Amino acid sequence: MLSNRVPYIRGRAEELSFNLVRQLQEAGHQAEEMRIPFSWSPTERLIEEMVIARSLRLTNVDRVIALKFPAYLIPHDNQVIWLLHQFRQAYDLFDAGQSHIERSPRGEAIRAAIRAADEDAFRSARALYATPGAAKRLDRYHDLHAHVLFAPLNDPELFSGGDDGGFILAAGRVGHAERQGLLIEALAHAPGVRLRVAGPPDDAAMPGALQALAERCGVADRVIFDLRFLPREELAALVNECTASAYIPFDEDSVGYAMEAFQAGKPVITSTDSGGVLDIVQDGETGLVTAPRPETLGQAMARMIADRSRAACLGAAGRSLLAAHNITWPKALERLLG
Amino acid sequence: MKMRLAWLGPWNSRSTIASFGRLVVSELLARNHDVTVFRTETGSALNEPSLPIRARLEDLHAIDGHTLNRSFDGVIANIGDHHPLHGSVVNVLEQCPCLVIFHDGMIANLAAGWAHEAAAGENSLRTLVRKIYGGEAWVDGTPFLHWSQTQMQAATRPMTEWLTPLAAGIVTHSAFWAPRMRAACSGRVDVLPLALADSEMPPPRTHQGRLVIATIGHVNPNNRADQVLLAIASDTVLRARCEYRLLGHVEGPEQERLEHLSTDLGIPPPRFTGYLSDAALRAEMAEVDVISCLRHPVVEAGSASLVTAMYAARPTLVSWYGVYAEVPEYAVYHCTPGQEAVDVAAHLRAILAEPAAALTMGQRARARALQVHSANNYVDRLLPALAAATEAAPAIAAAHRLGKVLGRFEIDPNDPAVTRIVGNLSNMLVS
Repeated sequence: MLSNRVPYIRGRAEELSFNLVRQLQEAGHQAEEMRIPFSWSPTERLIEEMVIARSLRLTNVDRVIALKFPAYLIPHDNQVIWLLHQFRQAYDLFDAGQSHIERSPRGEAIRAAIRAADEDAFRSARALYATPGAAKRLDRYHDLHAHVLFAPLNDPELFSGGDDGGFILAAGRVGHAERQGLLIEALAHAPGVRLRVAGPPDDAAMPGALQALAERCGVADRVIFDLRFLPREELAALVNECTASAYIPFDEDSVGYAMEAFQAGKPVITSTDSGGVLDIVQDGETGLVTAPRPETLGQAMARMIADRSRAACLGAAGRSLLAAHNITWPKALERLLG
Repeated sequence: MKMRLAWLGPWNSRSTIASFGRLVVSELLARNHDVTVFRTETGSALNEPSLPIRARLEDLHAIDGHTLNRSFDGVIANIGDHHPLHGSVVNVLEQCPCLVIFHDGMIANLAAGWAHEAAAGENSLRTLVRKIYGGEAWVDGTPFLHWSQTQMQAATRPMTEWLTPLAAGIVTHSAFWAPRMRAACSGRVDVLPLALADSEMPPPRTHQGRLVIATIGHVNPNNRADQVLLAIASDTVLRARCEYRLLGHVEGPEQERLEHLSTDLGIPPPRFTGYLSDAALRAEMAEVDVISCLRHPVVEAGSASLVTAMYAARPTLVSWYGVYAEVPEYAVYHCTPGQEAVDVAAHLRAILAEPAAALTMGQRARARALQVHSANNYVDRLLPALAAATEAAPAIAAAHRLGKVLGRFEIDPNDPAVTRIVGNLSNMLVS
């Protein structure tokens, strides 16, 4: 199982790769995780990173499952790619003006090299699976059609649901891209609604900044911050207890938090520009989808709290949707090893 | 120090390169090296009986380049411009940079055969030509090979640079092709006079006012047989006293061309013997007084027929060009390349007029061949070249791999990242 290692970064992708290996081992296979060091800065260094990956050799391995750029460039005759995400700075983030790759002939040359290397790897793979967001980018930038494969929950038994505690939960990494600040601003438009923000902050300044924002918005008494890495049991307990889960990142591929909410029978509030999560959250059916503005998000939170039986129905529909998709590890392994 | 050596080349009685190989391998064995010969022929050429040798003999198809690399202290590969004899070497060179002996400078026929037999035909060939020489080098709609275009082919797309970059070191048999080989190969390029056994031809006779002129070996248009006919036809005396023989295989169209030319010139056509075994060639040579080794253009890096002629101690006509111009003036008769007929006629008249001087010239040629073209001399210089290539091979293999990776990323060879990465590699691998 091939992935990358960026010092001090551990997110959903890292959890997925760890659990993929664990699941493979539990299924009776010999499996190991190999993570190659990766740094995307300075931009010029990206070509060396690709050359290094492409120059590595894996022997005594029957099947390679590669997850991320540039790990999937490591050649192997029997490689399956499960694309969690491309190096988005060379693709959609560049188009959106959010890339550190400069808009210049040199930047274009580096992007072209990344895209050529990706194309070569994707077309050489024995099979190509992707998360919904990555699959859309494959279609858009490479005219390649990948099989969509969701990442199953690692511990669904923890998300058994529970009594509605009457609050909105915003769980996960806390950062600018995750836009917890926008939720705090939205709270001003949702009188009486309580919000709980739980997860590790991206940087040391984040907790103070969010607290100050809550105070400016006059909602500090209705926000509970729990800004740390929460053990799975603690996180699951919060999901089981909330009325709804709010997940409004800007254009993220990950759908894990929404799946955990659905598993617990809780609806999800998200926004129209949040990316992959929109593939499973349908407005008025399994949650609420609104424009990424404080007013509309505030109204959505208020509606959930005001009509909790309706929220429960939406959550139950989410749980049914999850069950219908049969997103389980045995199913995923069957496809990856097929 | 005793070494385990792999010798990659054709190994049958119809191949001059095989005869050369047998001579050199015998010398290596005599110096106590452990040599395994890998036959490089493809297709029906592999059915030709092997030359006798007291070394292990294998088919190169049975081993891959990586295994070859690991299993031997040194690998020596022979390249010539004939796919049936050298076809299986190409893929091995990709995996195993080694010392390569280039018997021909132009290897267009080998490239065409490889494209047809082992790659995607003309598309592969076009891709190769475009990469090496640019899009202008092969005009769309024209054939890659044509007998009338050899000169243009040699000048614009000889394909030398197709395989020379894959070598860890090169041995070639004339200075003529060496500069472009040096430009393309990262390893050392050595120029060694071709080793060839004494042909043991019957001694030359003193002519009795008549001359038999012969061209030896596989005859192509660039052997300039037409120039000999033009020379004979140009002079009444020569018409009456000269006879021309072609001692070797001649392709049908070329034979027809020469027959038509003779008819047009009003002289008897040459005698075509077809392929001759060594014994049959010796018998034919008993009646030969003058040997023509004219070439234009020169596509070979070394000329076995020239060395054979010199061993035969006959007056020998050469184009003053390429490997043929590297023989001293005292040993051969020079002719202006591309318009040899005038000089040929003059030389034939001189040979008729002064038979003793002509025989002396032949003796000087034989003395030089014995001195320069021995296996002992050759191996003395081959072994240092092999040592240099073996030492350079790992760095060159790494550079090849890197080049392939960067190529797959479609990175321009002049990209600053290429310079940076190659520099880092050099610092790592080259002391």
